[in-house]
This record gives sequence, structure tokens and C-alpha cells, in this order.
Amino acid sequence: MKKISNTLSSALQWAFAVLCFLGVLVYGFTFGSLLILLAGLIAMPIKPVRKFLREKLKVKTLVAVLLSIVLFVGGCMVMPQLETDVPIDETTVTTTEEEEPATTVAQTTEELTSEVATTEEPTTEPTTEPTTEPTTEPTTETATSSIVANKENLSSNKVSVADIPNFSGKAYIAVNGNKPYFTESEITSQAFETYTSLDSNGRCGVAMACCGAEIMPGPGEERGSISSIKPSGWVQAQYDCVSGKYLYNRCHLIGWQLSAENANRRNLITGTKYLNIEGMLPFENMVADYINETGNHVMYRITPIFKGNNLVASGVQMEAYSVEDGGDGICFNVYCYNVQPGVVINYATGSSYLESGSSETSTKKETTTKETTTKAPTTTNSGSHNVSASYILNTNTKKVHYPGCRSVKQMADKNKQEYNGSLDDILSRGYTTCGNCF
Amino acid sequence: MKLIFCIDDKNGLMFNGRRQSQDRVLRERILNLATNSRLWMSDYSSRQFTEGGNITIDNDYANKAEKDDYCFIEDGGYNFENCTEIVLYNWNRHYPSDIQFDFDLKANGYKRVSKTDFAGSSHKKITEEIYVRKDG
Repeated sequence: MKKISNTLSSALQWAFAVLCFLGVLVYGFTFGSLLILLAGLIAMPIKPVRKFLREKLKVKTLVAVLLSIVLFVGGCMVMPQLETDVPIDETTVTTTEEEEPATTVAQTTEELTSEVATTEEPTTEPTTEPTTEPTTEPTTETATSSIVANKENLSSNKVSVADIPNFSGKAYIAVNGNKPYFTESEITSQAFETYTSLDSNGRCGVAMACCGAEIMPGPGEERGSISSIKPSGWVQAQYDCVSGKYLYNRCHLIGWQLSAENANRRNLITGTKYLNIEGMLPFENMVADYINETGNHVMYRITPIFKGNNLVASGVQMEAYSVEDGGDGICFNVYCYNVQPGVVINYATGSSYLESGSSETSTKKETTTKETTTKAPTTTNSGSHNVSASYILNTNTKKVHYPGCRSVKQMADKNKQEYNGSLDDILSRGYTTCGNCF
Repeated sequence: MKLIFCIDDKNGLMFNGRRQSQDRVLRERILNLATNSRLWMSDYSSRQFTEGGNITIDNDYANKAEKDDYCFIEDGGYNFENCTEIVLYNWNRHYPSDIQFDFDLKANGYKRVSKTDFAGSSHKKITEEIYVRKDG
């Protein structure tokens, strides 16, 4: 009888331990899952563990079992908190702690990344001709036509580079007939924002929010500096064919005008000026103005799409859905190309070069064309998306410098002013660029 | 008839079957503009006009509106054949668009007679431009 009892007890303990180990596999290495892992280890009915508990920790079997249960329960209690969308009050804390462990979004992002990351070696893609080699199973094909009919989790909105047609001069294209993949359970009118922790390559994942006045910048609130962040693939370069010359912007996933997020490394990717201004900004403007006008909320999800282990995203998927009016005001699902016409980008590293055949004359002409056809956004205070660079102004000489310019070190403090915003804007205010750093 | 459009910096009108933007102050301005005439619009457009006004809701307004009537154009069809005046409201913003206002005003004999900036309720600056056909 005693033998049967012991066998049963061992079997239960093994089952408990295996359950705990599975928990870690499912939830990954979060604080809660580590507690559960510890519970499983303590519960293992093997001699080394028993001996360690008994001789090193002076813990009796019964106490060990109790300890194991307490750890398991504790782990389970912690786990759901990590998976819950961040409520508004906690948002600030979460978003300022850059290295916080991932939430549920992080797990789904890993799925997303792993799906997209089935490609071979990192590739160099001419920005005007993105590769069309299949990288993964098309994921959008499985999506339903209804906005909220898809009952899968966040991972169901996967879009791979293979699904996306070559860039053909349009900054964005519709995905799934412009119907976002939000599920009924995701749609809420309670404002929140969540960000995915960086993956092992230092890359951002899905950022999701219920945007509303609650999380948007307050009246008069000004942007903070984001120049301290170096997103994955940040290899800055200058080209005449790029307005403002600099190829890359620190591109917000959830724009500042929607989230008031500044230097949050989980919300900033390396994006071309073109992606920033022609791709993402128009959608951010539309959502922000809709919220400002109506006071409604908008479900908003931004997914950077990386091919393989590339450090620079091939593009960004943007989904939005206005809550209170059931999508009557805002409803879109688009893919924005992370390209810069005239420039070839090595997405694996972030390095770039001028497209072959582009002469200096032709690139200059293109710059002229862009400048004459594209008005710089005029909403600096309300968070224009192009306002993503930091400069140092000399208020005496009216020169604009980059923060690393040697002239800045020699500048008198009284003349020095930090400026975060559009170069075009500051030039229009009578400043000129420094001859050394520009 | 007189046609009213709201456009963005890229002459965009709509995206994904939805207006690019809306503004309460702009609506009031449009209602004032059409105080002494009929203001035609589609069912879709009328849903944002909750403030009243002399509004006639008819999706076939392009064929029914008379000479001095105003037509507020968002999603409906329109033609410039009987048009004598075009009022453009520019949001001074860049929004996404898949339908644009692609009518060449100058080439079709329209001349701008006024340009006015005003602040909206959620837009810092909205620009009103009124174009009149020279032979109108």
C-alpha cells in the first residue's frame, strides 16, 4: 500500500514538474514563468533535488511541497498581469522602462518575426525594387473579410514581404481590402498602449494602442529628444535626393501625436524619410485629427515587417479602426514601404548607396521635385511625424548644427538651444545650416 | 450650381470610402455660405451635419441642383458642366487618399476670387478658396 502511495506521489510530482516546465515553454522567460519553473524544480522527485533541499536549505519534504505550490500560485498570479493590456495609469511607467519584459504582444511578435524570418540570408534590396522572393507562407490570405470576424490573436495579422507587391511609386498599399484584423475582444474604448520588447537582434515588434485624448499629448506639450535612441540598422547617410539630405528618421511606430511617446526604444525604428513623411504621417494625421474632432477612440496597431534577420524593416503595416462609430470614421489596413526613391538600402545592415544610374543632376532634380510637390507638415507642435531629428541651434549666428558637430562644443551656453523638429521648419525661420556638419 | 470640396495638401478627397477629415467650424462655415440657397449633399455627408441648416439630402444632387444651389461633395458623383463656382477647403494637412480632386481649374477657365484662412475646431488652419468660372 505504501509502495503504491509513493508511486502515485512521485507520478503526481513529475506531472506537476512537467506542467511547470511546459508553462515556461509556452509563456517564455517572464518573471511569472520563472517562479513556476522554480516550483517545478522543487517538486521534482529526484534524489539530487531532495538532497539539496534537505541538506543545503534544511527544508523538509512537506515544506518543499508547500513552497512549490506557493511558487506555482505566485507565478500564475503574476502571469496574467503581464499579459493584460497596460491600463492608462500604468502606461507611463511601462513605456518609460525601456527594457521591461515583453507583454503578450511580445509573444505574438515573436511569432510574427519567426514567420517572416524564414528567409535565407539577409538580402540587399534596391528600394525601388524590393525582392519578391517568397519568404513565408502568405498570411493575409487566411484573413477573413470581416473586420472583427478573425478570432485569432495578434499573430493573425501577419503580413510577409512576400505578400507585398514591389514598390511602384506609391508610398502605401491597402492590405486585406483595407480591413484591419482587430478581433472583437481587442476592440475597446479604454485607452491603452503596449509595446513589444526588442528581439535578440534589437528590433521592434508590434505596437498596439487604443488611441484617445487620454494618451495623446496635452495642450502645449512639446516633444522630447529621441536622439539618444539608435534603432536597429541605424546607419545614417546623406543624399541630395532626400529632402533634408538625411536618409533615415527615427520613425515612431505609434506617432508622438497619438501617444506622446518620446525616447521609447520599443517604439522607434529606422525608417526612411519617405516612409516617415509620405507613408506613415498621413495616416497618423488622419487618426489624430479624427480623435481631436470627435473625442472618439481609435484602435491602432503598427507592425514593422522584417525579412529574415534584417535589421531594417522592409515596411510597416498600419491598422486602425474607430471604436465608437464602428469604423465609420476611421478604418484602414495598409502597408507602407520603407524605401527611399533613388537610394538602395541594404536591409540586413542599414547601409545604403545611391541607386546606379542616378546622376547627381538627376538626384538634385528629384529633390527639387519633391520639395515643390510636397509641403512640409506644418504641425510641429501637434507632433508632426517628420519632426524626428535633433539639432543644436546657435541663436546668435542663426546656424543649425548636428549635436555631434565640433562647433557645438565651442558654442557659448547662452547661444545654445536644443531643437527637435523639422529642418525645413527651422530653415524657414531664418536659420542656415552649419558648413561643417551639414 | 456651386460645388464645395474639402481637400488635403495632395488634392485628396477620400480614403477607403471615408472622408479624410471633418471640422465643426468648417461645417458652420459651409452652412453660412449657403444660408440663402439650398445645400445639397449625399446621405453620407449629411450624417456629419447635425447642426441643421437648409440641407437637402439626395444622392442624385448633381442632376437636381439648380444654378444658385450649393453642393457639398464628399462621396457622391459630380460634374462640372453646370458649375459656375467651386469652393475648395484645404485642410493644410497631408492625409492618405485614393480619390483626388483632379480638376484643372485654370485650364477650365476658373479664376480665384478669394482666399481666406481660418482656424477650425481641430485644425489649426483651414484655407477657403473660391473659384468662379469666367464665363459663368
